[in-house]
Amino acid sequence: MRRDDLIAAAIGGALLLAGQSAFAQNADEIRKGIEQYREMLQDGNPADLTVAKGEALWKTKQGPRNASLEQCDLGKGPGVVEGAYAELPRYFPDTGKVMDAETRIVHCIATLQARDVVALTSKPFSGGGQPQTELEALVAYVVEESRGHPVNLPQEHPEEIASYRRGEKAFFYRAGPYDFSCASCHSADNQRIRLQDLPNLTKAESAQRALEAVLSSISDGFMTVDRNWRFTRVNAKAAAIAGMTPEAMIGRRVWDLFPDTVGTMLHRQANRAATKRVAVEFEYFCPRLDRWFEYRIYPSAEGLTILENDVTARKEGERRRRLLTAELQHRVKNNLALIRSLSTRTLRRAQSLEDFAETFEGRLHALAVAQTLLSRSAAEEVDLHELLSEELLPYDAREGDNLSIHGPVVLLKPKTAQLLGLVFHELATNAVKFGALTTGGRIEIGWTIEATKEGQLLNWSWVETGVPAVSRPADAEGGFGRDLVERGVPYQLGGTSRFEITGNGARYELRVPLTENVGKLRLTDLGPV
Amino acid sequence: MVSESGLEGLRILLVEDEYLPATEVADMLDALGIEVIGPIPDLEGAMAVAGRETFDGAILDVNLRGEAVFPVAEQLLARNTPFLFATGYDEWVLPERFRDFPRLTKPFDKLSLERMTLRMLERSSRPTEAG
Repeated sequence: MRRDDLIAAAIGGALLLAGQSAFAQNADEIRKGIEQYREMLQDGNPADLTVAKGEALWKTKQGPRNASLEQCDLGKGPGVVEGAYAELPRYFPDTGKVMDAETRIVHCIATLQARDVVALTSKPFSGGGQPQTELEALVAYVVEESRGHPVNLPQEHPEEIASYRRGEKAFFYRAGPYDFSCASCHSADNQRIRLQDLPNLTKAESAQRALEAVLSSISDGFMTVDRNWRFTRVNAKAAAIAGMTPEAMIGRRVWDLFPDTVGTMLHRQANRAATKRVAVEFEYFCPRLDRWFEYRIYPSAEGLTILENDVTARKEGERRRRLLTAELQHRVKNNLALIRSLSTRTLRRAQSLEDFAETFEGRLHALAVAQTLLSRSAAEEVDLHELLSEELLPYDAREGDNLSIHGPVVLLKPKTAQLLGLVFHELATNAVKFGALTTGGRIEIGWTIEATKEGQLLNWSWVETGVPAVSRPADAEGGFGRDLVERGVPYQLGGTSRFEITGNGARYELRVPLTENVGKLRLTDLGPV
Repeated sequence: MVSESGLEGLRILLVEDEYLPATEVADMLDALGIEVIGPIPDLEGAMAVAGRETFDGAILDVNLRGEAVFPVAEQLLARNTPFLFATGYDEWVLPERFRDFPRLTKPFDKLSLERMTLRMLERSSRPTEAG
């Protein structure tokens, strides 16, 4: 119970300090004591345990009637606990008396549960260091259920008014060896005994200070102007946005201080709020500050109240999202256009519907492979080696066996990956058709990076060997794959390409400049350090 | 067979950076009886051809290998050659001065291409508002 002890010590200390202050006026020490106390309450108020105990007692059936207190009428009807404490004490017709929370709870225990209340009322409060009494716990629960409800003391029944008068009299009645009344300590300025350093809102000066403290703490800009457009209040945030001090703004006219806003939407909307006496809300881009603001302007008795909020970050986010969506739309439509042209192209050479379906599916799959690899990479780049492996996967091509792939790590941009994905797919299909992957042939794929005056050049080759020449007609590569290599790659990526049939196979070569738009060599690929 | 589109014999510049869509659109134009200048895949090439050749209109892809086609559009505007944009972008992504020009949304078919090409040519034959 170390924490409880600490808290008890802090409360004691704060009370002691507060008590001393009445004489020593040591406001600083009081503030420190209160801060310390609040700090300790940060990780939980032990009074919560008493509230929980009270709630359990409230809801437990006991006594000769084996009833709980849940049907107790605290003034808002049987069973209503929430907000009841804020309206107590009050007059209860069933007893003909004004009752406070304690007496009403005791009344409920006696009537609902038929328990003997003498034991409860003979010792209603616990002593120092003792556990809370049942009544304390029940009151704690009832009070907690009114948290946030403003005090709203009923003053309608004559008994309620009379009760209030008696209390008022007692509060100011001075007696005892020090000739003190309750009011001696609790009513006068700087003599308040409590654990809150709340401002005294009954005095104009401290109320003003409290208002200023609130206004300077909010993150919105806050300004008020009179009917002549002179600033009457400017909080720290509004002044900071304007790059001025509140003092430099107060008393000056809005349109003199900010002539650049005359004639803008800000000017028009503020005028509307002032002349039509309506609240206006709008977003305004300030070219002088290069920022977006959200304004709320309300008519007031004095003139206008203006709230100003910097929404530049939100606007920027909205703009980025819009552009991202547009870019995504653009790519989807481009991909559809690509697929459309692929199908037209495939259809033109198809021997039959079945032939079309098979060929088109294969090409679509090749595009999907490139797309899958692209979507895996945050930078939207595809590793050339990975693209080759994935595109050749369906064709029984195994690295180290009938296939070798060698080259530095080159990362390809989306459109490059799509085109080369299609190229690799077509070459693999041809290799299967003409034997490199079926009759004991081999495919060696390799690339190097050549530095030229114009930048880096990707030298890529695909060499098939071990294929009997007879199996490959001389014009066999007049198809789609050869067209992509010979025309598609130079058209789309730049550079040059070559295709030749060799004695025992075929050879494709690409020389593609590694421009920013095509791809790049990964420079971190330097091996272990 | 050449269709009776009223477009036969025209010369149209085609700018498109992707090989397959470029060849497909070129084929469509060919089927409409149009003589294709290009296709041209990059900004540099398009600028060169636009400065050198004469033609009746142009079909411009907006994004050319990461570069915007607008300098070509400016050049065509300056010499009063009509053009249209073929793009997957929404119109608000285009610079304000180009938003009112005919636009073909990718992907498009031969019929849309024919109609939009006709509209592009009609626009240019109207007297300019400023004139």
